[in-house]
Amino acid sequence: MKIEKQFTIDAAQATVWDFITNPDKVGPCIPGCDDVEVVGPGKYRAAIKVEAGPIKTTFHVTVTATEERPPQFASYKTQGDEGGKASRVSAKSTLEVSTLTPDRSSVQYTSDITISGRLGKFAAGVMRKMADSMGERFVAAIREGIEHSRT
Amino acid sequence: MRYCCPTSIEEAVAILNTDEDARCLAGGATLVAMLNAELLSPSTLVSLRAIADLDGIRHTDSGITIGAMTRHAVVANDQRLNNGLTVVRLAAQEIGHPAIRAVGTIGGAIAHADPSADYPTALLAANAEVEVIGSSGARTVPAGDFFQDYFTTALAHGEMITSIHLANADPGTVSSYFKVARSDGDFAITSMAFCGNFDGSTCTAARVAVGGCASTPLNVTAVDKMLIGAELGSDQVTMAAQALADACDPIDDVRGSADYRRLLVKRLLPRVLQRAIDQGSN
Repeated sequence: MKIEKQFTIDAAQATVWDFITNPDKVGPCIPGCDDVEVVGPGKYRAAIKVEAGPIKTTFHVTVTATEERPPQFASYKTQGDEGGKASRVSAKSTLEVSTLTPDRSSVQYTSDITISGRLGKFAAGVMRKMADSMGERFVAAIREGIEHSRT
Repeated sequence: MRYCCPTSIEEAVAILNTDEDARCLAGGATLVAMLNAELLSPSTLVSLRAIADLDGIRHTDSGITIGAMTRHAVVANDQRLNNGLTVVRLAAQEIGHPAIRAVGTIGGAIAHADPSADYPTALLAANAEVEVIGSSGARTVPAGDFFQDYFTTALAHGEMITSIHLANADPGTVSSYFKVARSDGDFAITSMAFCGNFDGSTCTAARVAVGGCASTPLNVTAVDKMLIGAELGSDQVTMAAQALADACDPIDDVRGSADYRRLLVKRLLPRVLQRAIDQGSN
């Protein structure tokens, strides 16, 4: 499942980059994510609650930064599972922050997500819509977070 | 996993309220498949099969009430569901295969809230009311409010569906259902249900519902209004069909692309109207 999002934020490139690559700030913006733990340089661990209709589960994921070129580009590898249950998730993601004007930036985010195991059997088209909806809430939270930190 | 088989609605509600992870087991056509696929593992299954009050179709002065445990096959064959309510019978006839219709129930089907399933779309067009009960009592939820998102309903924790009420339609009301699926018995790529009135081939009242094209079955009031005064085959119907397709937000999946689903919406509206007219003249 490939997800691509592009959005603009009324903030300078460096401000956006600092927020979006700071696990303490970006963690709470991820829907269903309560806590992000830094386990090493460029390596994070998080638990993300996912609800797909009647199915409620928690993915324990490890995110590793595979490339970071501040303040414009980063790529990440994500791997996780559902604990005792049989689903696994893996993703390769890229993040690009570019300057539109000195106080306006564009963020492009891509993610290629693979879900296998029991949740892989669940309606793929619906999962995509749910992922899109999570993505929209993520973007809204980032926008609010950056604007809030400015005021 | 605990299995309970209460004999009264009150007993079932009490169990649902003591165990947050309990789920009602109706016919099992969907729930058991999901258990087999390890998608769900509730702590308690509350079987509803021994609760006689939930089964059967009752004709009342105000309309028809279908008990939550009524099998699809029973609804599919009940000739009292006619005129404005034919749509519900036709939808029941389209669900799966005879074996599935012999076990699946209307309550179970709508509790699952799959927007590609047959009942949600038909019940929305028929303006049905879902009667639910919980620890704080019974309440009635219009079909338009009951389906909230993919596989998500207005049922609160500890609540269960007791019946579906279909109010008597105005005299002369006709209804129809049209489903496009990859094969007989499959879920809809796109489905459409209609309830309304005609004067000759001119629509005088309309309520259209689309299935398989959004997170819930979709009724667009503006489209219903556009159809009033529209003659079958006129540009007004084409414009209403376009507006309906524009309101959809379909998924891309193995059954069809989002664009194909929107195209089907445009093609199905004139057909579902024609079917309703044909049904009225029969």
